[in-house]
Amino acid sequence: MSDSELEQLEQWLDEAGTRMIDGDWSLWQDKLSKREDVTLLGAYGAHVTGWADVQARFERTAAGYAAGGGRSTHQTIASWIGSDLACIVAIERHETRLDGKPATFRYRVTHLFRRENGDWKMVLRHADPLVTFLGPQFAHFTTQAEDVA
Amino acid sequence: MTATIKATEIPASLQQTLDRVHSATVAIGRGDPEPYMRLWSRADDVSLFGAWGPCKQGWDQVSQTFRWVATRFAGGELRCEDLIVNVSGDLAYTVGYERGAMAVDGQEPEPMSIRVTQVYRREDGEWRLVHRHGDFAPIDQSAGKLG
Repeated sequence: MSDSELEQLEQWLDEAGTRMIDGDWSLWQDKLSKREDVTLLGAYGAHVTGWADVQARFERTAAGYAAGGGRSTHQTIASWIGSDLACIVAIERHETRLDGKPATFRYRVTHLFRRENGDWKMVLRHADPLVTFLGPQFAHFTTQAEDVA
Repeated sequence: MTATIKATEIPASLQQTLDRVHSATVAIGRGDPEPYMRLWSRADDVSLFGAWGPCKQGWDQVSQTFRWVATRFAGGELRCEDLIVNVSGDLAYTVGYERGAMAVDGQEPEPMSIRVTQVYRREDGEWRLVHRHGDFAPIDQSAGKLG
């Protein structure tokens, strides 16, 4: 993978995330691998593997956002590039609205991409809310809403 | 337990490392972080999203966190279940769970289930961990698994 290919994936992440929080998951539909090992470890929990199940989960998640608008950006923490695999580790920041008020949510994300027939496809999204640590029992049930105006 | 999906043949060298990671995970669950730490790269670009919250970068921070984690475990057997193993060239990753009845901070053992993605890089012929993303898998809160 070249630096420009990595840069393209980085740009894709922001664009795809921004569209997702507006209820449109079409960029993910295109970028996700259609193979049996495509996997989502999402904020809803558990794991979803295989294109049919992953597709259903993304569809429903997008419907939950329902054109709420906002912007998704990320800060890359590390990336590793192999011949046909690449990994980007980042903090993803969703600036959106919650109950009509501006709210920012941050997620820890690990994305894995694989080159399939010349195109880079996403084979894994692992995302969980970045929380102020309160204890293991709270780790998943307090989604951080910071900067609430 | 679901069978592991392996998109490509897993080289013997990687399988050996994965087997060591499985043993090392049991060890850290018993309070000994050393075998797990030995399997990590010492490079500046290692990173950790830990299940108990920390986001750490670089070996100093990451290793300190593993030592802290090990001090919290007071018994139990933490077992790895790899759902996905993928490798290409000098990069590989696994997706799965670590589960066990774990005693934490001196409390009675309770079931623990950690969702884990781990990334490996081959350095001088040896597979080394460069990233761990672990979180406490919530019970699936969606309306039904497939909606």
